[in-house]
Amino acid sequence: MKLLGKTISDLLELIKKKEVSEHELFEYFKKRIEKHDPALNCFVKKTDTERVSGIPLAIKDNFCTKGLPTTASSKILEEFIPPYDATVIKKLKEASYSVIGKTNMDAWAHGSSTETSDFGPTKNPYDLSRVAGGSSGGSAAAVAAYLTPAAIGSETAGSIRQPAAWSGVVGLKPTYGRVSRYGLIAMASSFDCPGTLTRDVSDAALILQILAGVDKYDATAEARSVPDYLINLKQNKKFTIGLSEEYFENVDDEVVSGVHQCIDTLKKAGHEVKKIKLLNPKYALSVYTIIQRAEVSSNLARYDGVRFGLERSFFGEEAKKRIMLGAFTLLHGYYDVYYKKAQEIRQKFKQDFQDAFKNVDFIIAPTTPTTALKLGEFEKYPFFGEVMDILAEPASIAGLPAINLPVSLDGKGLPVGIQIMGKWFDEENLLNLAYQIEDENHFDMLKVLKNYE
Amino acid sequence: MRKKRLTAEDILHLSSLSKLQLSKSEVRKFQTQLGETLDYMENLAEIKVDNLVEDLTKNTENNLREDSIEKDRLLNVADVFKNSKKKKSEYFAIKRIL
Repeated sequence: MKLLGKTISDLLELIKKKEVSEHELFEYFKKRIEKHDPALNCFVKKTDTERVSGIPLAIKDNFCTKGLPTTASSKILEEFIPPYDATVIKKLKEASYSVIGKTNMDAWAHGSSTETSDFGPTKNPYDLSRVAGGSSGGSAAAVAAYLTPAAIGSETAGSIRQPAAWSGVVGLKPTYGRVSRYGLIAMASSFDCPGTLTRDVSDAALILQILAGVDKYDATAEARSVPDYLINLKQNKKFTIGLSEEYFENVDDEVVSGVHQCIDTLKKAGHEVKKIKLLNPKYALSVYTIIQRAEVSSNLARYDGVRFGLERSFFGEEAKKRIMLGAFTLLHGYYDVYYKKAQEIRQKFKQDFQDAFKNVDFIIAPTTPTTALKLGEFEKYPFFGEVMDILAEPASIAGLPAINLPVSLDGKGLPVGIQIMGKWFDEENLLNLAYQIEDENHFDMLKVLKNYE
Repeated sequence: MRKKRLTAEDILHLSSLSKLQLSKSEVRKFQTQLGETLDYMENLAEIKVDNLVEDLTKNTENNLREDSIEKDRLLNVADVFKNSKKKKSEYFAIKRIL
């Protein structure tokens, strides 16, 4: 039975027809991890669980997994074993998924290349001298190299979409409040959002169906009803799509042409494309950096080495910088100039999107300004993560759902991603449009697997 | 927005507020790097913020649960101490404060 590259929907079908057993699946992915992970470094802790039922999934190492080490790729939590499961994990287990392993990330999710991980960077499956993106880099690369059929990631601003773009997979960040954050190690609580990295849009819908919904352990997880994402996927809907020039500034030509190619396909398929004007993402970068640092300084204050984890001297450089800048923007005398001002402009971004969505159903833009960078290139940027996530940040500060789709390869053979941003809680139509693009565009995800047979 | 230059003293003040120890080279490096980040943030001065409702990241209410004990979520004593490096009988041991 050739399983290479099969989606979750495919695998469920094979299990149903008894062409493959759940045990065989687990063994299959375990072997692939043993064979290919030494070169890629997608996994922090490989799981040797007794549980071999269901479809194995890789989980970003900032989701608490009961009895399984959960490190957030940090030295401080290297030996931490959570006494409970995150809601995301609980729901997946109840739906008969199992954990094949915990994936590498930037330590505490601080970064966009996994290079701040205390356990070494994850390599890009398309080019091992390049990074996979981050912070959910291990999850994205593991899906691209098929060390797992799909993975769970988390996004504060770009941490799902950006590695998905650089590693050539589908990355969905739902609306803030659609999926519970309970048991997700807190980075910046007003942005943090669990989501999926998958091989196609259909799998993103399938997993979101399991994750979405109210949770009494997260006050922001909303009680509103969850539509049937899968059924809705295949309806032939026509949308109005907005393009904003501000999202194409300082973007590499090859990325821009990837997006335009996709826009042309949409026009041919009968969707309307409109020019719109949005606030420049360079302001979102400032808003996001200020508020995120402030929340980081508060969230990471809990690591005192008393009840769990090591003491504060084990924080890496990036965490130290973020905590201190956060402390600064909250200082008496600077609070109004930085934190309060950033909150006000955050609100302005929300209004800006609200106005835009009166005229269009979706906004399409490049996910990242460039394709995957070389290992070590991040040193050139004082706040690298934010710069690489600049185009993802506006949707995150507004709490909008957004998805990355791989659309083409650039001249270096690296994946180019586009993102679709939708209205609050409109994942239903977001996935529908993504599905249509995927169907028209046919990005070949199997090609790279020739190097990972 | 008021221009702020971070001094080495500022960095040491922030590290002490954050309970972080920095090496001399880190102080120098962070002074430059955090300074560059703050310089970038000055672009927010270009945006006017009149007529804003001060608020939120989303449009709806918090969803709060009953404040009650859930027995299946209680940890037993062994689990409570499982991740702690230092304990004395049934207490967490910490450095003397006073």
